[in-house]
Amino acid sequence: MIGEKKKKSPWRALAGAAIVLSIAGIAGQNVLASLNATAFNTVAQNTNAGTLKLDLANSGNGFGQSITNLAPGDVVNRYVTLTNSGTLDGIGLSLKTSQSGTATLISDGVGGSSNQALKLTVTSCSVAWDTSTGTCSGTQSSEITATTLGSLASAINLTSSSLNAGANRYLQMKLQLPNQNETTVNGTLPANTVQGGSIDITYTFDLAQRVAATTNS
Amino acid sequence: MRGFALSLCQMKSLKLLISIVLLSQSLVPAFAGATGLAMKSLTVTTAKWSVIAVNTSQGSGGAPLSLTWTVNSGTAYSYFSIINNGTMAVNQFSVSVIQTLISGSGRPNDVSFTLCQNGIWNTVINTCSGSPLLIGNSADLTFALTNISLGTGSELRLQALTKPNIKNQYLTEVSVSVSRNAVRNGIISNS
Repeated sequence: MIGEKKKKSPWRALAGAAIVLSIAGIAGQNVLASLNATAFNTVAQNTNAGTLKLDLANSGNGFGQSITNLAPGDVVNRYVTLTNSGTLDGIGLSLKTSQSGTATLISDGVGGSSNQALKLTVTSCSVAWDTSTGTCSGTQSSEITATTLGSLASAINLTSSSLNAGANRYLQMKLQLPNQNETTVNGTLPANTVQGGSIDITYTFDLAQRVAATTNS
Repeated sequence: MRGFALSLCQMKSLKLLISIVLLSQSLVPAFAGATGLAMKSLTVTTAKWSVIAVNTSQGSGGAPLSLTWTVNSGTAYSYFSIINNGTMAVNQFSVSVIQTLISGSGRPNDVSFTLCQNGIWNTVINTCSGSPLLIGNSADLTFALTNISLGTGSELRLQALTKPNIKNQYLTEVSVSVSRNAVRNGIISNS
């Protein structure tokens, strides 16, 4: 029996572990209880997103009344007003048209013929147009030169392509059927005629937001 | 350690992928800024200038008016109308006449065309209640009627008359043509 090691009680190890855990717990509480400081704005920061809105209004008849019985050489001026009613300035003001109906009124030289289609010219005035006389009492600017309707399927930028928030653009939309000769025999219209045609034109103006900006203040 | 090295490689690839995605996302707003659209539609129709020659048996145009003559003796008459079936007033038109012999001998009889101005034709006794105006003859082949004002839907009544005493049967075809110059010039309108 002499020399035999005395067997350690398992309770000693358990007690030791409990002591270690207790010390660690106390030390940990000391860390969590250290000082903190916070700061915040007492009035919440308010951020509003800008808006971009383009309105198209008829001035006089505008696009609200059909054009009928147009003869070669005729010019019909209609007037519309564009307004940037949003809060953001706009850039890249463009126009495109889509149309359906008589092909000879849309494109020149249909089927190898010599027909001349409708042409659109856009002119702006710095003030509202006199829609009964077609006169501009302010400054007149060419926005889009005479362009065959079919060529407006792709958007074309107006010369004055920026439109600030709240600003108006007074436009004269000049639609012309070029003068051209056709002869009708016994009531039969010539092939690829511009006579007796009909088209529906949809005008689409597009305005993009101003370039995004970084500000410091 | 070897397994850890592979993981690092994968992590690098993942980071690269995430960077690309984030970069592309950051670029999108620059191209997709707000836009304002405004659109309206407009209908446009064009005019038609057209004049036809018709009588009671041939009423729709689309072909020459055919007058068939059988002249054994005396004078023969035929009546027809020239109608503006376009959408514009016409101030002139031209008439072309083709004569074709059907039977008999010699050349077809000449046919003259007379307009009854300010009146109507009595087709029974072949008289005009107004002022008869000779406007052309088949021998002319083509003749024009100018300085008229033929409104949309309006018509002119004409008498065709053959000379007597030649015994043959023939066909007279009357074509009417109207050109761009026969209608008003272009106009500018603002509204």
